[in-house]
Amino acid sequence: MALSGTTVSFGYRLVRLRRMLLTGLSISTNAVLFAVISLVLGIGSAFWMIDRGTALTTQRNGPWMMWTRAGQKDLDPYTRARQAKTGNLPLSTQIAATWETRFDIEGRRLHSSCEYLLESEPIDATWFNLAVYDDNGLLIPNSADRHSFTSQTIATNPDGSFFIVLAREARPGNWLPVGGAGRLSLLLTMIEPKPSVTESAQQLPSIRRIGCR
Amino acid sequence: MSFVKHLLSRWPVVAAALVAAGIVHICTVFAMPYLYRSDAVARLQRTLPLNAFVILPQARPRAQVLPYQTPDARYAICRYDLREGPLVVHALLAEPGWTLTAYGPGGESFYSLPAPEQRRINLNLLVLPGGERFLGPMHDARSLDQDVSQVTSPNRSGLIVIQAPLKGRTYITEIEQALAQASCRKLSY
Repeated sequence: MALSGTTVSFGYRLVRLRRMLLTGLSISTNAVLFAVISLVLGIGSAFWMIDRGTALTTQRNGPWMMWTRAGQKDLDPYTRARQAKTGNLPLSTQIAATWETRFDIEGRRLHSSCEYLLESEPIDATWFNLAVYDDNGLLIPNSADRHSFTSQTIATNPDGSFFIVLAREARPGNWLPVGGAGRLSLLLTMIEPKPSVTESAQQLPSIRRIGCR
Repeated sequence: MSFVKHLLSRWPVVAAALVAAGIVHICTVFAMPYLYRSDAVARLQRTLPLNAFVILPQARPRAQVLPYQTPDARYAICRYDLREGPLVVHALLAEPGWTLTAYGPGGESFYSLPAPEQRRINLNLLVLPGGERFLGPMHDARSLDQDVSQVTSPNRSGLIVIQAPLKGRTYITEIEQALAQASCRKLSY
């Protein structure tokens, strides 16, 4: 049976419409794929490098990390972005080493529900300060009104070494209260460390978890 | 696995997206200082008076001016603007551990000085505008004080920060008195 001209034209239109739909779908799939990969990977990697640092911008020693160009005259874009994000005003690494950590020696996140022992060899610097903050860099309220130790306030052993306990309840010796803060961050600032800022990593305290509730 | 195959079948799109991701990455990193307008310098510039040192209160929980502010130190901060000429800074760095740092608007420091271990420093610092912005009578200005150090600021505004470690609570008054001696003023001819 011969098909009429109208039927052929209708069928042709249907095929054409289907082809257009498939092409459109393919293009939109490609567009979505393109947008997802470029945005997620681009923005995600930028935030990751600004939060965690890389070998390009940081120096690491165990759980401790220092942004090597922090506060300097010629900030690299990552350090500049980091400073803008954290909102702090770091001392230049030309005169001070500022080490930070959010992890213990086994790579576990520091948390106020756990107790930690920091043990350190003598720190050879003009002045140092070791302070504990919550995850946003804010001081933790506590009844002892204690948030940090400095080279002038810490109790040391005769050889200059020292230990600090991070715990909710009071502990003998150098105790830093951390009750109820959630995730913790530690900042160790050494002004004019000897022999140099970059070699200050040799003096960093170890951070060992004693236990958790 | 099928997802990987799906991606591989569209490799030109994936390759183009990876290149675009690199561009997005760079743009994000460079845009960050503009997106986070709450950076330290911007925040302090909104609250501090011009060309005068202000001694910040000691950092306390729920009363911190800056995140990660050292609780065992006191700060004196001067917000400066060099549009009308150079700035003269006088500061006493009384003890080891005291530092004076000059920051630009992005938090980059173009001058840092720690107090030496054995002696105190009475610092006289002349902060000059960078480039060709300042064409004033510098020779006359310099002759006012032969012991003045000079530094050129790459930007017209920023902060001068003196950080004074606290040895203990009994020393707070002594440290505040030493910080109160600091001055920061526009150079008058």
